[in-house]
Amino acid sequence: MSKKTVLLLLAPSVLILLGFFVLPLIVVLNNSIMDETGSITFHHYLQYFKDSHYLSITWKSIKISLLATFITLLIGYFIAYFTTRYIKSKKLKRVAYIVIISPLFTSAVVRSFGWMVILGNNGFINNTLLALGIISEPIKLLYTETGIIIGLVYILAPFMILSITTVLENIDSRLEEAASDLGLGPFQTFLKVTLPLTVPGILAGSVMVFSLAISAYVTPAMLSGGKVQLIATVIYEQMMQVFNYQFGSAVAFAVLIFSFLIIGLNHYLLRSDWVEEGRR
Amino acid sequence: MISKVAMWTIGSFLLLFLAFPLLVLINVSFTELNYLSFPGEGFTLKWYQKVFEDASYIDSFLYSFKLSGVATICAILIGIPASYALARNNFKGKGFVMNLISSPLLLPQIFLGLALLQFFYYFTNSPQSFLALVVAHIIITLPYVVRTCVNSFIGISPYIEEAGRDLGAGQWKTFFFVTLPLMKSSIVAATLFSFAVSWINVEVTIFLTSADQMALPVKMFNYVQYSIDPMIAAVSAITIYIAFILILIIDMLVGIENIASK
Repeated sequence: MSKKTVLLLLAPSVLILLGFFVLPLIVVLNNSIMDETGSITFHHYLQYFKDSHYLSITWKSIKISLLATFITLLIGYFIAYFTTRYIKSKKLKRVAYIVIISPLFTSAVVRSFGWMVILGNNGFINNTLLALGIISEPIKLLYTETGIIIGLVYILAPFMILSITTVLENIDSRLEEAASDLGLGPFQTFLKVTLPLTVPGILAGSVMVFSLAISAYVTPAMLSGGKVQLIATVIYEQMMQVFNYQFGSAVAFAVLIFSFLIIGLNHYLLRSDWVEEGRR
Repeated sequence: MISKVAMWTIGSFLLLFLAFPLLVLINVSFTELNYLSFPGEGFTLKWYQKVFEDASYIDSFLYSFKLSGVATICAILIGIPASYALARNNFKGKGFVMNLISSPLLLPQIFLGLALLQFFYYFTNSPQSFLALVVAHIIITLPYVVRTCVNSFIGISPYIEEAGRDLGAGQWKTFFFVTLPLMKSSIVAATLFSFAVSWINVEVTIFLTSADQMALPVKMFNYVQYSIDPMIAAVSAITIYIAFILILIIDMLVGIENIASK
């Protein structure tokens, strides 16, 4: 293909991304460091980081996101391991994959709504526990941080599962066979061979889930009924209700830089030796 | 043996956890009760009937359908040529172009939404318009289109195209009559995948949707904040059916495990 043809084929995609993706990001950055008169200021960032109210929201968001990521990792790893190692029949595997992927094809609104029905005071969990006599009063799940974490875990699980599945599928099964031939039990084989080999998938999945969790808006808004404030809800409020674009941009940019730091850390870890060791 | 039974029990339980909220919504959409309680009681189609009689929901369905359709067609039309160029050539800046196209996947969606809102606010007088939404949706679907199509183009041997040219077809003719037909199922899969990504999007859409013309997920989001009833469960159930149909078609065309392990 001639250079001109390549350029011609790429031009529409590249132009639309430069114009409507890169440029808007520059506008946001620009807005976040501008005051009303148009001169440069870090006032909006300081306003955020000096305010104890916003700082406590930030910690809460980080705490919830970390917890959600950790639980997602446990559940996701189990499902990925189960699907790739235990389900032998092709048909069943297909069904499992469809179950794993189908949540990704329905909107976060629908999936969170499902949990509202399950978690509410008259919801499935409370009704079941009440009927069984385990509790005497409904436990508060919906509109609490617990509810948000359950929702986030559910919404983000497919991303974790897919990223670990990809790694698990590509592990040479002879390695695991060799380990058991050399006398390791199944659990030890898993701990000493399989688990270290899947570290790249674990890291990639965790980073993705964490950055999705900390920027998630819909699920926390629905499952907390607006009662729990998180960074993403602050950003949304500033943009859509207070119309303070400068402040909203500054908060958003701070979150963005934070998640890029984590993505960078992940890249660094993935290249470091101890993961290489595992891959060998 | 015990560990195997335990694995299967926990594994099936967790897989059920993934399907559970969707099954709950389908169940309560048929309930005869006037409030949401799972499991629902009896069987009735009245909530579906109510949805179809509500003009505002039909409007939102159609609006979302139009939006996702237009955005997907645009993403396919600009994504396929780009994928072809990326799959068949090595050139300076290829890494940059690949990263640029996939970066909307890395960026938190709420950020993209607020960035486009400000952008359209400064450069046009109506930030919340159909055009703004189409542009936003092209950007979020393009990475999926390009990823699927690049892989598929790489899977087609360049020798087949060479044979086409040797037999006298020009470059363009070869592309349209040899390469594209081989890509048929991947293109359909990419189209459906991209449609689904656009169809379910809330985070970006919510910033760019105007109050008088709401995309379906945004309308549902605004609705459930104030009241939840079996009718909105019926709307949800309809979107779940659509999701299942899309997944089954993609599975038939390219195999769901191919999408899964990428």
